[in-house]
Amino acid sequence: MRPNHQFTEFEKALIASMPAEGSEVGTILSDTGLPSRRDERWKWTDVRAALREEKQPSVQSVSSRAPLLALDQPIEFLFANGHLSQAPASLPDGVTLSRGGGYPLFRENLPNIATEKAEATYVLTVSGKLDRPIHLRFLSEGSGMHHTSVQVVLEEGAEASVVESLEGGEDAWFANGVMRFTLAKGASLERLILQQANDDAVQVHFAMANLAAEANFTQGTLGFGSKLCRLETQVLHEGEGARAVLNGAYLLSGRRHLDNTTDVGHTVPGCVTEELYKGVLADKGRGVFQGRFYVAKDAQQTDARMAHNALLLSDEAEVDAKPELMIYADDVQCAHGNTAGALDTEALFYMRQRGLTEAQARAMLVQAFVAEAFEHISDDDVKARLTALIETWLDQQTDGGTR
Amino acid sequence: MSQVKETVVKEGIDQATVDVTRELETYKHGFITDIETEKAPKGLNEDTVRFISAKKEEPQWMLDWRLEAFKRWQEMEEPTWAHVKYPAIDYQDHYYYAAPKTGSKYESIDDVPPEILADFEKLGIPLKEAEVLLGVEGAGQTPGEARTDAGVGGEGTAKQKVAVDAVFDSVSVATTFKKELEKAGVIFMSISEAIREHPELVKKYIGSVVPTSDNFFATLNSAVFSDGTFVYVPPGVRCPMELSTYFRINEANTGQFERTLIVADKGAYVSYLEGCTAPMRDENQLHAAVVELVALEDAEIKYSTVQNWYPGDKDGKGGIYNFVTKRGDCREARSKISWTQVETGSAVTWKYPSCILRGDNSVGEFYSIAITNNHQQADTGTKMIHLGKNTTSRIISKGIAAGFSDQTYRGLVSVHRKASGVRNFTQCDSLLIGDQCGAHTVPYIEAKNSSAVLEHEATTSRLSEDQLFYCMQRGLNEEEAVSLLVNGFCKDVLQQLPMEFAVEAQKLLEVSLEGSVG
Amino acid sequence: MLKIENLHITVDETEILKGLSLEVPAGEVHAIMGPNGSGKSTLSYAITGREDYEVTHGDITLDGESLLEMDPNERAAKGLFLSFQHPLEIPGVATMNFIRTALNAQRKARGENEVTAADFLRAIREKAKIVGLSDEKLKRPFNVGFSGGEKKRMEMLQMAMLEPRFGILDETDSGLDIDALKMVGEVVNEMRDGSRGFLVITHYQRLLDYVKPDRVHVLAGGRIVESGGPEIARELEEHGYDKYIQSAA
Ligand SMILES: Nc1ncnc2c1ncn2[C@@H]1O[C@H](COP(=O)(O)OP(=O)(O)OP(=O)(O)O)[C@@H](O)[C@H]1O
Ligand SMILES: [Mg+2]
Repeated sequence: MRPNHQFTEFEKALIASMPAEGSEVGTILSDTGLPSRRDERWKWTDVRAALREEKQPSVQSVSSRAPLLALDQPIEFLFANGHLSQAPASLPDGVTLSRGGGYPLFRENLPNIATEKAEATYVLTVSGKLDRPIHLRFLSEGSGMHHTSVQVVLEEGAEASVVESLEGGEDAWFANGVMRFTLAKGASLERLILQQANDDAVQVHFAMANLAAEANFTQGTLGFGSKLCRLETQVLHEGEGARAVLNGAYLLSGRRHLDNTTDVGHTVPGCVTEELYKGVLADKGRGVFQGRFYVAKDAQQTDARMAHNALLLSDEAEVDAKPELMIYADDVQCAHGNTAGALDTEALFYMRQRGLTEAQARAMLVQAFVAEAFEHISDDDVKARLTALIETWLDQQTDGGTR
Repeated sequence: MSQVKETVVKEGIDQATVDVTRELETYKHGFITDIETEKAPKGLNEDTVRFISAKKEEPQWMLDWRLEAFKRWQEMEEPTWAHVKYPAIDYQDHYYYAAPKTGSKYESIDDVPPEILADFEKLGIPLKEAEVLLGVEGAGQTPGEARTDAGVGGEGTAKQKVAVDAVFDSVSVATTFKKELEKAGVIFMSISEAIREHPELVKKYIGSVVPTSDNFFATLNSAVFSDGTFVYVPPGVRCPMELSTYFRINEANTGQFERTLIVADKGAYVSYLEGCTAPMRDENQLHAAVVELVALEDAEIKYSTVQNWYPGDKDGKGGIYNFVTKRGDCREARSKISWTQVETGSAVTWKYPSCILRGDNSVGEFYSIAITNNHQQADTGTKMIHLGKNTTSRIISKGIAAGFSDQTYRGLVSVHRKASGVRNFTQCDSLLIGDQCGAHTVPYIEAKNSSAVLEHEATTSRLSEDQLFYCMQRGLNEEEAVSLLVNGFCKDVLQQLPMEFAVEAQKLLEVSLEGSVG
Repeated sequence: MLKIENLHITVDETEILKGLSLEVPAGEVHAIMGPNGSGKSTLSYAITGREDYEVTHGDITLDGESLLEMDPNERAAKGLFLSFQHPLEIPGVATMNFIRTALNAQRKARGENEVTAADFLRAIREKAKIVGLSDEKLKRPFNVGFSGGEKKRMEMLQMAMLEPRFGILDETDSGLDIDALKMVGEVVNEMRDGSRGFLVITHYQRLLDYVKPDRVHVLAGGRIVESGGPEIARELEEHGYDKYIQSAA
């Protein structure tokens, strides 16, 4: 137990809700509490401070709403406040849904809590090439808390795309989700995470991806933040020649907070990781980027590159970044870059000289800045819809008079 | 022990040190000086603090200051966040004060025991003023001027003067060139002397950059600091020569806790060099220094370090634990503080020379080369805290890890809400030699002002096989080739060093990497 | 149509223009020549309303209306176009989209209808041919990776598309090959219709062979120190600026 740790009402209730006996997760929780600024990995995203008051489990239904991202013939699963409330009547060939057991504990305890508290761990198994996207819609409402746990298993040579949209209504709900991706040899997964919520919600969405040899894991993220939101992805290259792309963009206004944390472990030779995050911060928005590449002694010929660029549109915004390299192998190419700055005033003047209004020029420059993070997306329709979401955000900025 | 030579030029010393180096294989400064010393009783309690203060004939306020720090320290926990591992330090198993028995103050340089003089001479630090005219080429160059080939002799004839303060175990044994500096109004003396002779200055500035409560090691230092250097450069004065301190730990089980305080008043300039060595011993020795720099309006301080404490042997036995707090305060407008360090020694290094950029338009710089070999561990970097408007900072860090060593760059660039127009550029490159070592980069970037332009780049790689082959095809052996390429890798930082140090540093790189290839 | 009276411009607390007066009547082409650093680009930025170019005295009017209180885009909508001495690259911004947005923004500000995508496409293809830019170049992000000459061609393409009432060409000729020089002449001469005005900043006579100026002004020491006919340009070519620099100091 930590010295002087005063448990919050939230923590006390959560601890009380854990099984009394034999829950390792519960023991850890009552030992350490929720992560807070005193934990190195959470120093800029203090979950404990954001969740002080006691929360009841959420009711298992939500009002229906149009999807944040309309997909072409999606295989849609709808989680209403953590409860799987809609699933396709029949699944296409090669896809099965089952309930899975527990898996080993994560280093972080929040995903462990999610696994333990979720109604079930749903396991989607894919074999062969799936030509329709799987859409996991996580809908949240009310002021309670709920947890989800989903596992996606791609068998050897399988191909699939998974879209997770984290959406929600008003109120101060807390959603805690864990995803686990297992890619067998030569499997290929395109993952897209879309996050949009209100000013009061707290969200933690954690994912772990294990990649076998020659597997391809491509991830894109578009987030607009909430009171406190953390999107974390851990990737482990376990087979030679695996490849991971981790891209993302975030646009934060008001007092929204979004933390993108990634941790990529390279344990075998010849793996590739490319990572690019772009952040746009308006008003009092606060962006956090933590990226870590770990290269073990045996992971020779690793090629890993990371970049994070932030654009500050307001003097009250804040960005905190920690791009980290931990390297134990010598024959590697590893690099990271980080920049933070304002819009290029020279470009703004040039564009306005041609007749664009300031808002138009800014919007165009912001779109251009962000677009790079979505270049990897193969589906042009999806790309266009993401652009439209960004456009909507930009329009709100000018309407609200923020600059 | 060799005898004191009457006249020594730099070339001669270099030859001697090279010879010693050969003898010692890897650590060239591992000899023990045979003199009697007076020590405080082993261990640390309030009485130890009183003993040190009394020995130094300190005024009451200084003792009170120390005691307060000691009280705080007892309530603090040793930090664990750095990426270094070492067995728990028993703070009661160290001596906190050791001085040559003949007394620490010498009326003239001739009173310094010849053993000590010889010791310093072996380190390449001639104390006698006659010997201080270092045979350094490249005359006429002012400190800070870019040099591309520091190791190559030029045609220069004029000699550059360096004033030296030498700290032997816990006490300052001699300060050279005192008179000439006095003429310029520059105060350069041991901190113990300064506490007695310039209490108003010391009182005003000590602890004003690194407060007694700052961190575990700094607080410990505040309680038991034994000696160190004090520099004050008055308004508008450009210090006429480089100032230099050499620190040496000699006694076994002795902790060294120097305290350095440098104040550059309005419009002043000073360049300060710090060198460190310690003999080879099986036990680990503790070194916890504090360096405080204060630059007032338009002032500039350039602080260079060549840290070559004993790193331990090939198997990781012995070596210095180096836990240092160095911080500069650009207190007023247009001031500048520049840190340059070459870190090759110590078993464990924990060190982040930092700049608080408070004054508008002030500038902070950090240039670092860190080399770790065998079982060394280093966690080093900098913090640039931008508080003032239009403040700029530049960080160039080159890390080379070989053998079984582990090295981390840890840095912070922080831009506060009101600091508009801030610029930072950071470049961190790591080089791994062999596959048993580790190199890590942990930068923290915090920006709260939209007009800031912050750029950070980092790379990790190994020596290029092609370049190695090319060099060897031209006739260099593998070690020579590695040394040449490592020098090239470090060039941006080596250029920042004053000439005398650049030469020394290049040699040090070679020595440090010995045995790392093949 | 463009009238500048006793203009004082301060940049970064340094006064660059110190009481410059100049008038370009409708339909005329005036050239400005002057030594490096004399303030020619500063003048063009002041006219088009760049931030940080502070007008401490004087006035700039277009057709009798003062420009000083207007934003750069409002001035553009009034018909002011600047061909930049050093055109920018704007990564990530599609060229066609940029020019079309600019054109429509101007039209909207003037209360005119937006051009349709088809009309726009037809027009830009035609004008691109005239300025010598291939279709492939139009598809790239704006100016990214373009040569110096290509960037100048892109400036002329925008001028041809936006059809300004008053064009300022800041050293559009530098970096251009002979054919491109002729092209600039064609574009400008094509647009000269008796109501449009042009201010051509240049260091060399050769551009003026293609774009015949009605008057030539010499800018030195922050003021117009001499004005006259085209012969002044030839004189400068021969003798340089010595006599003006002395008289200005
Ligand atoms: N942003 C600025 N800050 C400070 N000084 C500036 C700035 N912009 C221009 N100046 C200075 O103003 C003077 C005039 O510059 P300007 O670019 O207008 O010259 P120019 O006549 O166009 O020269 P050239 O023929 O080389 O293009 C120069 O001395 C320049 O250094
Ligand atoms: Mg110009």
